[in-house]
Amino acid sequence: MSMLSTSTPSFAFLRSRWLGCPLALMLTSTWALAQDKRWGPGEPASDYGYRFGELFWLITTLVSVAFALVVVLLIVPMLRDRARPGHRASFDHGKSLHDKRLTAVISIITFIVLDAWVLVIAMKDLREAYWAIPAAKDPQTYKVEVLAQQWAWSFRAAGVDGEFGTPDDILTTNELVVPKDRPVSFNLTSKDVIHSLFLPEMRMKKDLNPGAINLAWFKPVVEGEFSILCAELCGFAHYQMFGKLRVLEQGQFNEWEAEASQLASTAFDADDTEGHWAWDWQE
Amino acid sequence: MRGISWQGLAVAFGALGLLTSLQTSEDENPHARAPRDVSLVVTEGAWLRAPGADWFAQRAKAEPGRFTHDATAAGGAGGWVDSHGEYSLSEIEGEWAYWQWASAERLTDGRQDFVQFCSSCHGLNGDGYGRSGQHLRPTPRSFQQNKFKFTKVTADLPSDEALLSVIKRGLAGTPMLPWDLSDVQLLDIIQYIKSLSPEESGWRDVYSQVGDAIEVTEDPWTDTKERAIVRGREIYHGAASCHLCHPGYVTNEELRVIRKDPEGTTYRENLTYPALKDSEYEVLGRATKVMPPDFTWHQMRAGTTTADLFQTIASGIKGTAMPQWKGAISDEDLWALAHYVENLIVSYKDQPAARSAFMGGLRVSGDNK
Amino acid sequence: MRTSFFALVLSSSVLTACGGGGEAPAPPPGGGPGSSSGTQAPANSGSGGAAQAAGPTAWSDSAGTATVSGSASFKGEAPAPVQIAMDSDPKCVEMNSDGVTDGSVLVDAAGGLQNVFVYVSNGTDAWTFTAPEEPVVLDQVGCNYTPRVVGMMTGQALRVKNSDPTVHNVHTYPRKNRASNVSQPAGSKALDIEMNRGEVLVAVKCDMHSWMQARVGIVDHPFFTVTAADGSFTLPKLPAGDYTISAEHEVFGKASKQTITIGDGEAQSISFEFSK
Repeated sequence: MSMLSTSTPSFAFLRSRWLGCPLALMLTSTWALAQDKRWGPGEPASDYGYRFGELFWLITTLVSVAFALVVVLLIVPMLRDRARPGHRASFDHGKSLHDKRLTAVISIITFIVLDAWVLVIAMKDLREAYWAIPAAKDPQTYKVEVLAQQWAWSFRAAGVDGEFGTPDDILTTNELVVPKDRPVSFNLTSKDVIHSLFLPEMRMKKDLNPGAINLAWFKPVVEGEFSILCAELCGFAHYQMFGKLRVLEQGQFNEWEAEASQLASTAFDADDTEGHWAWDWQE
Repeated sequence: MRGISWQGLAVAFGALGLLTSLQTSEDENPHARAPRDVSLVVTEGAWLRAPGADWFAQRAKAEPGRFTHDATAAGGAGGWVDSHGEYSLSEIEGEWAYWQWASAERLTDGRQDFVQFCSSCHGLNGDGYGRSGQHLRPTPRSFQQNKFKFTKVTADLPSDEALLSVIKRGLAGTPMLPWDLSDVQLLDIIQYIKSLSPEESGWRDVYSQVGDAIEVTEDPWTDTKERAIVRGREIYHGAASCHLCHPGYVTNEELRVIRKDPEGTTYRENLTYPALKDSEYEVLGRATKVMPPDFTWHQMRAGTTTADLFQTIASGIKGTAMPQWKGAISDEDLWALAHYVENLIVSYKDQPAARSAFMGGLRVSGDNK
Repeated sequence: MRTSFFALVLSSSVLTACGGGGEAPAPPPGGGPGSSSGTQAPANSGSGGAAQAAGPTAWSDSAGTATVSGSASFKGEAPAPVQIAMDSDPKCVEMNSDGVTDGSVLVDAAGGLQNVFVYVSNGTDAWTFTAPEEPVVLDQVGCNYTPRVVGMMTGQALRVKNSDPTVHNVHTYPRKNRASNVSQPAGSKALDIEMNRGEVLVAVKCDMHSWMQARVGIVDHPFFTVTAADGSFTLPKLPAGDYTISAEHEVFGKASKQTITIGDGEAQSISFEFSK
């Protein structure tokens, strides 16, 4: 018997339980974990949040199928072609032209089925949602300047006068209050190192780079309290940059904004220029 | 990879590096760029003022065998002797006081962690003006100033334990995190911070006093919380007149009743809003102002339990308009104040509907704004 | 394992070996390993630098017979007095029914400047002085400090009284002394504040009534005074010698110093001029 197996591989096992088991296990465990708020991202609370879920499940399903297939393709020949009484182990380096062609075909199919599909949908989402920054001049747009630093978030909203850099600017630390059903637009920058503003329930995440102003937005569609996290990995205490995002129904928000602006004007020290920071809105 | 010339790549990288280094920017602000030659070594140890005998009595219980009481010490007055030699009692300018020795090695360890974890805000020299601390209000503490807001001590300076507790708890609503470094690391950092004191104030000053966080006395109102809140409201707007700086949570009419003022008496404008106050915290030589919190709106820095509030009110907040109340009003009234403030926080903070009904009610029903 | 822990144990054990242990009344024990400069006791930061190596002698009240007198004046147009709005506390308004003006600058018709703290800033090193037992009193009356400017000796107590039917907080702003900020509700007993180092002028403020301000001048000898309504002052009982005399006002700051040489029994006159 030759050392190299020259027989063409049999794909009969595809019909077997070998494929079904890992696939079912992966999908059900992912689904089960995602149901628990501690593990999964929970229900989306922004209008574009559903796109994240769709993409997530598409990728999870595709990758699960591919993974299960690869595992089965790996395990079945290992068992089928192993050394046993009356059967010598057979293996193959895949150097024949036939094998190379097979590899190429599988790669191209995988790319088209998995990556291109995901890429097309992802680009559509980016274009239609994440990159569709609402116009600043739209009175509906609620604008927030975010200044990150070690280790906190400073949020500045324009207040009732709608102008940044005025005494009634609402300044909050680690706390952001926004109106429901209005697009919230961010100008993001950092004082010191790279941070990453992550609003998990809103499916929004964007880096903040010192020296640059980044843009991001979301539109909350659910009232309530949500998390603000820093998704920056490298660094001592990014994980501790917890904040609280509160989404208020429009009427309540207007009341809140008026009061916050009034309190901000009270706290404003006109002579303390070193403590004033704001920038011209970028879009 | 045969197409790439490695030598060419190296030259390209070198040129890029050279270009970057040539592109220097002259910044007016000396703090804008961290200096590259930051010293991480402290060459001299420091004698630092230690707390008094009561503190040592506590420590002696916590660390049996280390401290012994010597009745002949301090010229016959008696004092504690540390077998480790870290603390010692000595007479300077006729005053017997406990001093703590922080060795150069220990300060170096503290300095290294300070530079890594603290200096971004508190500055490489502890001047409170680090890169991330700039434009920040409230300002980060300058360790050359020796004033600490929330250590809850009535003495001038906090003990190591009081500082440790602040650092480990963090200050809510500020970039000051609850730091999860080890106690050994934190205590080294604390010794380093203390060693930054100027000669005539702080831990190097023979006249200063070091104390522990104010004792949480027994709450006399545990079974009569409702009455405590009523009493607290009277003290808040009456004897203690907290409404001179913090918001008044009453209408003008109610205030007249509480203060027994005649009909027609008016109070400060915007009574239901806080009044901006001076502080001793300086940025670039200019004192900043501090907003006394509206308890139904702002975040409390040092805890919202009645015990936390009792300690904070009793000790006052150093460097700000908030004075020490311990001794000025009875502990019973201090507790009543704590209950009243806690009730305001629990009932209205972060509850927009309840709060706007409450505050709105005060503003429309009376002649106050 | 971190090195600091070792360093701590190591330094502690070396200190013990050096005979540390804090045996009173020995000065704090020798420095840690490799630190020979740490063997001194904590820096003696001095109480105003009174004691010099020359061997000062104890001062007796009868030793001085010279007198320096004079006046402080303001050059230029004095700022018009500003009415204080006391609306925040009706109790204060009640006590000042005719209205009250800001007392930081008090200039009389002839230009005499009141409330200037005048003191000997140099020339007293030959003596040591004992602070009087009785405290210097600063009263809070009608939501203002009386007197507005006081002088005291190092080690003397500043007794702050509250004679008002309302609450005050006594907030001191020293740079070389212990700071304090204690509240004093109506009817409280007086507060005694200690300041142990010479410092001119320390501000005393009430944060609850933001217009309330006083100044305390602390020196380590009894040769200080505050100018009267006409700007005049007298420094009596000075012994013969060379002195530098300084004057400071809470708004206008320091006037240029005057140097004098005075003999026993003599009387000399000097003047200080302030401007914006």
